[in-house]
Amino acid sequence: MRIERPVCRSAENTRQTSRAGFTLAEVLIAVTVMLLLVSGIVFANLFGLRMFQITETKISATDGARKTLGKLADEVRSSKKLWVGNVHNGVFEALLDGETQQGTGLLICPTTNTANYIIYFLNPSDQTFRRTTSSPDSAVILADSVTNIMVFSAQDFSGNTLTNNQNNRVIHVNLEFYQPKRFLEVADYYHLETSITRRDLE
Amino acid sequence: MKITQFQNRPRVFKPPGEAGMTLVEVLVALLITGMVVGGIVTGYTYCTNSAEKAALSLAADARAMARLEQTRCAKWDTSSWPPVDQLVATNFPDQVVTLDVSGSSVGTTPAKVSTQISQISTNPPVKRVHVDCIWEFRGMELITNSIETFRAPDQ
Repeated sequence: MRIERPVCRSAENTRQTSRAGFTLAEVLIAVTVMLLLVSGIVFANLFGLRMFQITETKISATDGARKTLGKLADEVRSSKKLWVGNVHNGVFEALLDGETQQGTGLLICPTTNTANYIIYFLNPSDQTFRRTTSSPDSAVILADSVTNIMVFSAQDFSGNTLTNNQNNRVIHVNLEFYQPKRFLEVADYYHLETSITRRDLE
Repeated sequence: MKITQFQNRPRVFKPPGEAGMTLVEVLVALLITGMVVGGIVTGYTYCTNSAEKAALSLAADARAMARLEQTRCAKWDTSSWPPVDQLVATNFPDQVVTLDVSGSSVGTTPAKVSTQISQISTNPPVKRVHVDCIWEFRGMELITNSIETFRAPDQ
């Protein structure tokens, strides 16, 4: 009796397999895995973009606001004289004794010469917060989208708004911004409040 | 008679370039991809948290500084009679404020501003003013921003 040894058909199978295409199951699995990968990457990118928008808004708003108020604070601290008032048609009108010391503008005299001045004011027509000086054509826009009107007030040490132009007073600054949602930008609300005292008290 | 036992079934060998992946390989690849994507998302979240924390810290500094400016304007005149001294701790009680942070969809963060005033010298008269702004970051971490100055009477 002769028993034949089993013939190894691996070479033949290999040739057949190499010619064969993908099965439907293989293609479906490959497509599913690919979709999972692509959706994961797209999700990570979209999430990153959203986070970037939020972060950028916070950082740039904080940076810009502190920079603006930092300059204002330095000028108030080093000033010789200052008045709270209102700006009408480009003219600053200081509040008098007896009036509530609250207005849209602040006039700062860095020296005893009152012809040399700096004015910070709110322009209600376009909701911009501006700075100008006694030099012509020196007005610059510091911030836009300001929603409140009464930006400046003179207060005592307890935070009560004064009704006279007394020497010991804090200049209180209150700015509220709102910017509606725009293309690729989220809506932004920002409230900024600080107090500054002139150092040169007589 | 010689019977050769057939122990190994014939297997189909594919050339290395045409071999498919096993289920384990696919799962490991998916796991690694998930870890990478998770790492990227965690990184973005960490950056956003850090930005918010920095903004809140600056806002707390500003609040502490505003309180310090109020103490600066308190009248302290030792040369008049009777002497005037408004720079005392009872004039500056603790106050709860809201930290100013940009963003319309964020919640507000309250902070407590406390002021300590102590006389460190009578001749020459000098007082120390210490302001703490205490706030909590997302209910996890209590943070204090402090600012301190020394003040002499009004000249």
